[in-house]
Amino acid sequence: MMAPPSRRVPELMDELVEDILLRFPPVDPASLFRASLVSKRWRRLVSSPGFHRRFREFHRTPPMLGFFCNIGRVPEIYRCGSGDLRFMPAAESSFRLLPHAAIPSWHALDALHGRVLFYDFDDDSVTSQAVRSRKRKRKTSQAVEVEVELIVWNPATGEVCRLPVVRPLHMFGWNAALLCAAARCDDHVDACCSYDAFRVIVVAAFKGLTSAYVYSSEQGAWSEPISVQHLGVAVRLTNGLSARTRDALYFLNGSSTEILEYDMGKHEVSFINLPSVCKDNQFISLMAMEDGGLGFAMVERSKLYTWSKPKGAGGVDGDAGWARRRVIELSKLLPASALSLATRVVAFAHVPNVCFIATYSKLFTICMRSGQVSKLYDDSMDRDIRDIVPYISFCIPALGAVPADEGPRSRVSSTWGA
Amino acid sequence: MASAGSGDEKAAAAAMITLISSDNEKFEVTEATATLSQTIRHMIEDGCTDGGVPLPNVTSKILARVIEYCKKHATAAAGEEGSSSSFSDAAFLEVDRAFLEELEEFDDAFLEVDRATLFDLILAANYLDIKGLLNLTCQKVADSVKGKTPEQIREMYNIVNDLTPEEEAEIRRETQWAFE
Repeated sequence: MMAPPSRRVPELMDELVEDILLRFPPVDPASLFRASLVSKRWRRLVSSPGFHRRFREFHRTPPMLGFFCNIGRVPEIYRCGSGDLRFMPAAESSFRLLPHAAIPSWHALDALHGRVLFYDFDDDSVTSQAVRSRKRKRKTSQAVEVEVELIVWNPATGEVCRLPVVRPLHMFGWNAALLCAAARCDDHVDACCSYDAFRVIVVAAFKGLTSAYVYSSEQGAWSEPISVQHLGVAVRLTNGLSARTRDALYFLNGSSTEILEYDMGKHEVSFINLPSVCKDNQFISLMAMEDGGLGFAMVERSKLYTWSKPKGAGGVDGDAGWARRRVIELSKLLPASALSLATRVVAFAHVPNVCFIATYSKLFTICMRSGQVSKLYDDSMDRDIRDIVPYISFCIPALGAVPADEGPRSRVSSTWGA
Repeated sequence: MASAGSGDEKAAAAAMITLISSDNEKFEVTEATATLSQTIRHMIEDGCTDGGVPLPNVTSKILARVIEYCKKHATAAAGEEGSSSSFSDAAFLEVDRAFLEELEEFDDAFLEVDRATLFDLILAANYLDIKGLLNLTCQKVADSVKGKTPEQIREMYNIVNDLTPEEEAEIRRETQWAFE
């Protein structure tokens, strides 16, 4: 118990008030938002870009505030682009979205530095070939092109950026990810980066050609595509999460036989074969390894396997360079009801090093260091959960009324959502 | 690990520094204790501690507390240096762990002060540049406002609300979730 204050609390200079505010736990952003309402001075301090930078430097590792997902009834949810968007806060997290903040038809694709990349399309944008008959659209989904709208949203500031349409995309043959505007951004240390700008990469496959397009927020435009001829089976990029290392982005090919690699420095696209063990596995999740290499996780017969290919490991063919790292017996970690043929890895977050495991209507995380399991979602209403994107970010108030001399903050929208 | 006895023997042999509080009280401390303060360390390095170090921003009441903290943590620092040698057997680690626990208990008890004293300690830690003490006291304040409403924070730390009702309403509207 603290003794009652016997005398007036002395005034602290700005620097020391900042020293106190810096020590607020990142997983509890509500505390910082409440502090910003104490006085004009506290509000100015919390909102200043200098404090934002110091806060990220002090804590270094951004917290997992929760995850975005789409929830809907089976089997509709298995159709591309269905289910309602939701934000599920993590157990410790005080971060919430306002109910009207996001559009239900949005689907999260990626998150980086507080921003979230979503896609949206409505059936009207499906080209005439498919619109003629819905039945036909389903049957010949291979040929359906859609106009996909990509949206970059920062839930903490309300900043919304709707990207110009790249080009009509093959419904199942594309994927996208967020990139830092800074070259060689080290995602592990969130403090190194420019927070003002971002890039978006779209990879798309069509008629034997795979192309990469890069959008720069600074230029407000898409780059000219780079394309490679890709022979063999049609590339069907799924909407699984990409993996980001220092130098490259990786997307899974839907047929689980290979990975598309986009080299950020060289701006080149190439392909890496997956080892033969995952040929028949529909659900593998790519992961960025701590050594800077690439890895993946998959579930098979109640076991979670991780594999990796160290940075610079030679061989693009077959199993070359791949090595099995860990085998985790899920029956010892998850309740028996969570284990079924539908148990799958749906996402991997390398900053807190957790693996997201979903089974019918249930979602768990497993900490890869401690083996600690948390149940994130359990739905008894016959609904399933899809398109899971962990939201790992610092969330610091950046409220409208910051003095003009503190930079371009004034362009930050003061409303939430679109 | 330095026991209390050998610490005192060392102290007797070590150079002593005189610190003078704003109300002119003199405190004799060892150099090891005093140099936890970067400010004093620099003064010693510059050779300007003869005749005592005047600290016009720190009262005797607060300086006594600061010295109490520095004494304890100087012993801890000496202990750490000792244990960084090749000794790493279980018994040694056990002693280390016990000592760290004791230090944590000391810190907890040390922070059982009223808010005005806590703020005085922050000011002194900042002025004397004692990183550990600044971290400890600022963290204590940060922890104490956890889960508190803006009104409660203002009341705790005598802060005047100078936001206009319009500004307040705007922030609350934008970030409603943080106030539920």
